[in-house]
Amino acid sequence: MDELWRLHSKGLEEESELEKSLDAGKVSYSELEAPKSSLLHLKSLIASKIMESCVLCERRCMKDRTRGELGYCRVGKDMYVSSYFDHMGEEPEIVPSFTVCDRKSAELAWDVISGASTARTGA
Amino acid sequence: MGCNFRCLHCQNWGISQQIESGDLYSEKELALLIDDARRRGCRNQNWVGGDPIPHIPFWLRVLLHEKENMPVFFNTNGHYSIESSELLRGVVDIYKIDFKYGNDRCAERLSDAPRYWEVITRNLKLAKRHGELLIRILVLPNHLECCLSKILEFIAKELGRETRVNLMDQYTPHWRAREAPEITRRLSHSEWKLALQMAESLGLTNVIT
Repeated sequence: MDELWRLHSKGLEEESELEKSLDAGKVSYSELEAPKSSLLHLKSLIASKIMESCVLCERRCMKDRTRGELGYCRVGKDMYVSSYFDHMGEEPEIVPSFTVCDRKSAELAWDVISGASTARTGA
Repeated sequence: MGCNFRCLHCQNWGISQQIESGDLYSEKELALLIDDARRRGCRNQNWVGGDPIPHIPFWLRVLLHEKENMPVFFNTNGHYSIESSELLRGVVDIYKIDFKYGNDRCAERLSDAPRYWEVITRNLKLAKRHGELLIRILVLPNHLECCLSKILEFIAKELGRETRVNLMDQYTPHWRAREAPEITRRLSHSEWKLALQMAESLGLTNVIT
């Protein structure tokens, strides 16, 4: 993991340099070749590894969500989408904003129905 | 749901209480929907929740499938780890962070949020450095002195008076708000007037209401 983070720092530096060159007009997007793997691939890999002992939020509950364990957030492995829509009600500078809302896991839904859950719910 | 907070006064309880489970989309399907939205003129992809923090790994995979260059709007309570902050860096264009409390005691009591002040102030500073920052403040009744004044002072002093702030007066006692007696009503007219005065006297220049 340390090695991945080291690569990540390096990637961020390179990205920032590239951005400067692009802004300065020294390089143009069309000249760039599409990379086989990118900083985004690395981020995605690190994120998946973090999920094995989840510390994405500051509660750091360290559940292994890749095996379907639910964190304090009640999210396991998958994202369930409850709705998506063109949001016109946000701040004027950001609308229309294509908005995706997730929903709790199926397991929790059952807890609520069965009354098994004593945890507070709600975002 | 899908949230790392447990706000007694959750304003989205309607969504969080629907008892059937949501639909499972593949990353690729979602990416296609987002590309379509970009082509019809949407200005950004708005990652909401619950809160998008637990879904960062999923969203990064969606991005890998996207063909259009669509800015990312990260719509969060701001209680993410330093690891997540690093992952979001270079990915998120606009950080929209809810600034809810001015101290740890209120945060713990109303949202069950640990070490709130330390975390939110750290992440706000980093967000400002790494992208555009938009702060939303839902003013809670009876929390003007303990919370709102501290929040606005921090913004003016540490983030700058030109920080984009959306000050919101529409708080409604939803969900389990009755368990906290002081927030069982809407904001009064005099409280709202005071909130606006606070923002003005601190010299905040970029407030939307």
